[in-house]
Amino acid sequence: MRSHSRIKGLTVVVLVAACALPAVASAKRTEIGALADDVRGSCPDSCQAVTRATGYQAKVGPDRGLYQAPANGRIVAWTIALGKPGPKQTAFFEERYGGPARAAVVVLDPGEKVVRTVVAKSPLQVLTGYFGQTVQFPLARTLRIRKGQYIGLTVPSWAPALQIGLGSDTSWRSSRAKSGCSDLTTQFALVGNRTQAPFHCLYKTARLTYSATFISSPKQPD
Amino acid sequence: MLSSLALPAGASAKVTEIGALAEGTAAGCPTECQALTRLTAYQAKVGPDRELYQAPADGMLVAWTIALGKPTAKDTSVFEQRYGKVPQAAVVVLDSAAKLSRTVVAKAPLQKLTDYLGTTVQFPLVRSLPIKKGQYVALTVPTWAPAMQINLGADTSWRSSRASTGSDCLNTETQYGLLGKRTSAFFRCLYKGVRLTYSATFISNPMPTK
Repeated sequence: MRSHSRIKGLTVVVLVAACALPAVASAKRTEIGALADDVRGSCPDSCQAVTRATGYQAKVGPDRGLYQAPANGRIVAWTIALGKPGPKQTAFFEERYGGPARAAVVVLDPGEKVVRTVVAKSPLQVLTGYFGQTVQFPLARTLRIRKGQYIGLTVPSWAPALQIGLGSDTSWRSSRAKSGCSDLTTQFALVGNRTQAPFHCLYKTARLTYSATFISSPKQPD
Repeated sequence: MLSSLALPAGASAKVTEIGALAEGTAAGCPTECQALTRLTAYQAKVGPDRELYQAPADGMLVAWTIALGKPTAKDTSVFEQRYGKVPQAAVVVLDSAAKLSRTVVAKAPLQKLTDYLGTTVQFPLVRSLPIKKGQYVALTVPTWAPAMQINLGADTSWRSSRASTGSDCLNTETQYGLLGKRTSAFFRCLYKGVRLTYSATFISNPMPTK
């Protein structure tokens, strides 16, 4: 039997109790906007979809900070709870909103007057194969995020990721023009060179069914 | 029509901690101070579990964690003098072949550990590491790292990239770390009674609905 390597010449120090544990863990994994088991896109029953917009969840019940990073760190994955539209519903959405359902997670930096700027984004993900699932996508390139920045969802076509019929204290905001909050057809998503928009449009009683896996940057001990 | 209470079909993809460190897992320093030196290593067994450091499916490593001991000033000085000024480590993915041959197929950047001695620290990766089912999560230490829990049962063991000829399994001075162009080695050296105090955060690739 081989023994492990022993460092010769080191004094065994017994001043510290043998049961001493390392100091509190530095860095922490958190699910930003964690989805309870019953949260999912409403399709096929009352089938609504997010269309051609960048959106973020502003409030869930009394909680306003649910989609803001609690510290500096990185987004390493994102999750979306997708409804399962029927074939007719899928055909309808695809025809009107630009083909297959797609989405990406983005990091939004907040400015004044609800202006939000995309400072990091993941690649767009085709969602068609995942309808009816809660699916998590690990990121090959993780996204840097700073404390207070928002996690948003960019949907250049459509995505069945909207839970409806909730209380009026649950709401989300979109990048749509203030005069076009109900305009589902025009492309308002922050894609390509368009990285900034005022998020004036507020939609109550609905939840965007996405979340992001966040790991804070390690802190050096004091 | 489906009931509105119907939940989504099982969650696709899953976050798992490969080699999760139980609450009491701590490196031996300063009380019985030993360190990993100049090698690549992985935990082969923890009690009856032989697969604790193997990926359960295809996916990505998005972060890694290390529980570091806190060497005394005297111990630190010995380590620095013999193995390098700065304790460093990186997580790597090892593909396995016959006769304990292992090849590095992905690696994280080396991380300086000096500021984190005495803590359990998690490092998120800027670029995630792809890993396939069955591949090992290992640790490369080009200098030294106080990341060993000692005096455990003989059914807990780790393996290293050191040469297995003569007494080389106990050779802590020669550089055996899989660094630079050296990506492959035989992991014949087995060390019992010790746990390497690292883990990695794994997310499996999502599976489309059939």
